[in-house]
Amino acid sequence: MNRISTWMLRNTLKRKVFSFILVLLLCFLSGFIYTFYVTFRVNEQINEMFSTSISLKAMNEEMREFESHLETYLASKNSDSFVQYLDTYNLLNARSKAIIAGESPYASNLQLKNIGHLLEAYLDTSEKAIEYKRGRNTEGYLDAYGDLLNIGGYIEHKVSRLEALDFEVNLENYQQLTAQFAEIQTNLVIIAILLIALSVIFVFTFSVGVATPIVDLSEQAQAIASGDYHVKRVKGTHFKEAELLRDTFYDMASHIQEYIDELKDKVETENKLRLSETEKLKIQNSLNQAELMALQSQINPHFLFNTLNAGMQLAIIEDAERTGHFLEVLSALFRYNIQSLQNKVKLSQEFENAQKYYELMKVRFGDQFTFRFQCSPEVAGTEMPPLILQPIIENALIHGFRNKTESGLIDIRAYLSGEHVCVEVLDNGEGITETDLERLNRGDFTKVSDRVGHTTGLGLGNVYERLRHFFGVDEIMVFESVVSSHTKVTIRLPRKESESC
Amino acid sequence: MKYVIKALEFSIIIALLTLSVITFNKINQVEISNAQSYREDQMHLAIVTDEISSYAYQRFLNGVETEVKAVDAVFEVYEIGDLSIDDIVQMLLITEVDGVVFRLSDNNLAGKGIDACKEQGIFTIVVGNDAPESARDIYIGTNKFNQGRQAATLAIEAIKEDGNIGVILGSEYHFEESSVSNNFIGGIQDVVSKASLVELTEVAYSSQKRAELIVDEMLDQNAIDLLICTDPVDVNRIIRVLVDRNRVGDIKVIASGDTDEIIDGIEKNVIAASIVENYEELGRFSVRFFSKLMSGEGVSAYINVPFQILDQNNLGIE
Repeated sequence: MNRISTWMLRNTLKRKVFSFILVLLLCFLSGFIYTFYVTFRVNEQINEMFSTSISLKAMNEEMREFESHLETYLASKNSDSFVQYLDTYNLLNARSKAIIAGESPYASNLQLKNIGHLLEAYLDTSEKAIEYKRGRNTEGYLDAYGDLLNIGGYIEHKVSRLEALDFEVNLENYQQLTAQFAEIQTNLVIIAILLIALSVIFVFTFSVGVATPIVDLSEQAQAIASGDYHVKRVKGTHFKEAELLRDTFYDMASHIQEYIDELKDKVETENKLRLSETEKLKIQNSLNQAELMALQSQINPHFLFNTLNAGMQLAIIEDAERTGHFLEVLSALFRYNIQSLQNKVKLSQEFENAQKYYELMKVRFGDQFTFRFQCSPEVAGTEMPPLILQPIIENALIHGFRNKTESGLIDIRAYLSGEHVCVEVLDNGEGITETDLERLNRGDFTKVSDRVGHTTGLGLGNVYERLRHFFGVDEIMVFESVVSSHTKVTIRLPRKESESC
Repeated sequence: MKYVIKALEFSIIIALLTLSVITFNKINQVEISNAQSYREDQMHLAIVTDEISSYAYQRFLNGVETEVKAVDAVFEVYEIGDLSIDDIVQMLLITEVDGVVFRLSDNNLAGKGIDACKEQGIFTIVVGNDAPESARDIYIGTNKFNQGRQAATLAIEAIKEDGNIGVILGSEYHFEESSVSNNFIGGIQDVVSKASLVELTEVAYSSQKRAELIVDEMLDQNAIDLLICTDPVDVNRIIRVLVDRNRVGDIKVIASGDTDEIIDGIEKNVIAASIVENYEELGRFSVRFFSKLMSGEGVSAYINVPFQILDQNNLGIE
C-alpha cells in the first residue's frame, strides 16, 4: 500500500507514460461503452417494437399445431396425437394465462388482452370437444370443434387487427426513434470529435512534457561541446528521471568547468614560473655578459692596481702631484668598475663614480666638456644596480660630441618626482634621429650596444636590462632628443628608500 | 501557452461531460409507445359500426377518444363487414366487454346484437339510428325528422319558395330503409308539402354513387334548383362540380357540417346555409352515459343532441 502511494506521488516517466496511456484508453473506452450503450438501447427498443408480433406469430404456429393434433385425435383417438395435443395445449394455456394475468410485458395492450380471453375460450372449447369425443357424442364434438375453429378465426382477426395497429404504432415509433437517435447520433459525433481533440492535446502535452527537458539538455550539451561550459541552470518541474538527468548534467558541467578552471590556473602559474625562470636566466645572462666584458678589460686587476700604485708612488717621488692624483682617481674608477654587477649601490655612489670619470675625462679632453652634477639629498640613498650612470654618460660623450667641435655640456641631475626618483643625463650634443629615438624608446639597443669606443664596454642594452630586472618594471628609461640641440636620457626609478646625498 | 492548453483541456472535458450527461438522458428518455395501454380495472367499451370512413364517424370517434380519457375507460372498434354481427357479439362476450355502442344504420342488426349482449349483462347504447324495438339501455342521437324539417325550411328560404329540391344523403344514411333516412326525408317532405311551388324531386345516396356523378346527372336533367347535402365531404365535391359547370349561384346548396371549406363557402355565398350536427357530442355522450350506467346512475333512455345552423347571419356576414 505504501509502495503504491509512493509510486502514485512520484512524478516518474513510467508513471507519466502509464497515466497518459490510461487516460487515452479511458477516453476511448468510455466512448466505446457509450456507443455500445446507445446500440444496446436501440436494439432494446426495436425488440420491444416487434416483440408482440414475434409472440403472436409463435402463438399462431402453436395454434396451427394444436388444431392439427386435436383434429387427428378427434378423428382417430390416437394417444400420440393426444399427448401432442396436451403439449401444445399446455403451451397455449400458459401463454393465455400469462397474457390475462398481465405477466407478459406487453399484456397492457387491450387487444392482446382480448386475444388472451379468446385463447382461453379456444382452449375451453377444445376441452369440450375432447369430452364430447370421449362421451361418443359426435354431434357435440363436431359443434365444439366448429366453435373452436370460429374462435380461432376471431383470434386471427384480432391478431391481424393488432398487427395492423402495431404497424401504425411502430411506424410512428420508428419515426420517433429515428428522430431521437439522429439527435443522439449528432451528439455522439460531437463527443467523438471532442475525444479526438482531447487526445491530440494530451499527446501534444505529453510529448512536450517528455521532450522539453531532453531538448533543453541537448542544446546545453551542444553548447558544452562547442566549449561553453557556463551552463545556465534552468529550473522547472518535470518528471523525476528528467530532473535527475538535468541535475546530473549540470553537476557534470559544473565539475568540468571547475576542472578546466583548475587547469587554467595551473597553466597560468606554470607560465608565470617559466617566465620568471626566463627572466632570471636573462638577468643572469646579462650579468654574465657584463662580467665577462669587465673581465676581458681587466685581465689582471691586482696587476693593474699594483702597477697603478707603483705609478702613483713614482709620481709622488718625482713630485708629479697631478699625475699621482690622476692615477688615484683612475685606480678608484677601476675598483668601482670591477665590482660584481649583482651588487647594490646607492645613487650617491653612482654620482661619485661619475665625478671620478669626469675628472679623468677632463685630463684627457681638457675644457672641451663640462659635467654638472646635481643630486637631491632626498634621493641620494636610492638603491640601484652599479655602473648605470657611467655608461649613459660615456654614451653621451661618444655619440653626442663625435662630430661636434664646440664645447659640450653634460648635465647630470637626480631628483624626486612623485613616487619615482628621476635621474637625467642631458647633453647638448648632436642629438638622435627620430628613427633611432623611436627604436631606443622601444628598448632596442642593438645598434648602440654594438658600437665600441672608449668606454667601459657596458652598452645601454645591458644598463636597460639590469634596471628592468632590478626594479621589475619595463618603462624605466626614456630617451628624448632634438637633432643638433640636445639629448636627454631619463631613468625613472621606483622609490624604495630616501637618503641624503 | 501552457495555461491556454490547460484551459482548452478543461473546457473540452467540461463540454464532454455535459454532452455525455445530456445524451445519456436523451437515450434514457427514448421510449416507444404502445398502441393502447390497458388496466384490468378500466371500463371496457366496444363500438360496433358499419362505416368508418365518413366525416361523421371521424368526429364521433374524436368525441369518444376525448371522453374515454376523462372517464378512465378503454374502447375498441368492431366494423361489420369482415365479421358478421353474430361473430362480433360472440367476440364481445368472450372478451368480457363492459358496454357496447351500436352505431349501425340497420336497426335489425343492431337489435340482434343488443339483445345478445343484454342477455350477458352488457350495457348497450345506440347512437344515430335508434333501435326502439331492442332492449338497448340508451339512445343518443339527433332528431332526424326535425333536422329534415330545418333543412327544408332553409332550402325553401334560399330558393324563395319556388323550385325543385334534391337531396344527397351521405354515408350516415346509406341504408334506404333505415329510420334515420326515413325520418330525415320525412321531415323535408313535411315542410315541402306545405309549399306549393316547391317540390322534392331527387333523393340520392352517396354511398351508392359518388356525389359528383349524382350532381352531374341532376344538372343534366335540370331537375333541381337546390341541393341538400348531409355529408361535408360530399359538399366539397358538389361545389367543385358547380364551379366546373359554372352553375354557382344558380344551384343553391344547404350543407352539413362546419368544416373550413363549408364556412368559406358560406362566406362566399356559394353555400346558403349549413346544418351542423354535433357528431363529437354524440361520441362524448356515448362514453359519458356508458360510464354513468356502469356506476349505476339513473340515465334517461333517450338523449337528444341538438343541431346548429350556420349561415351568413350567425357568421357575422351581412
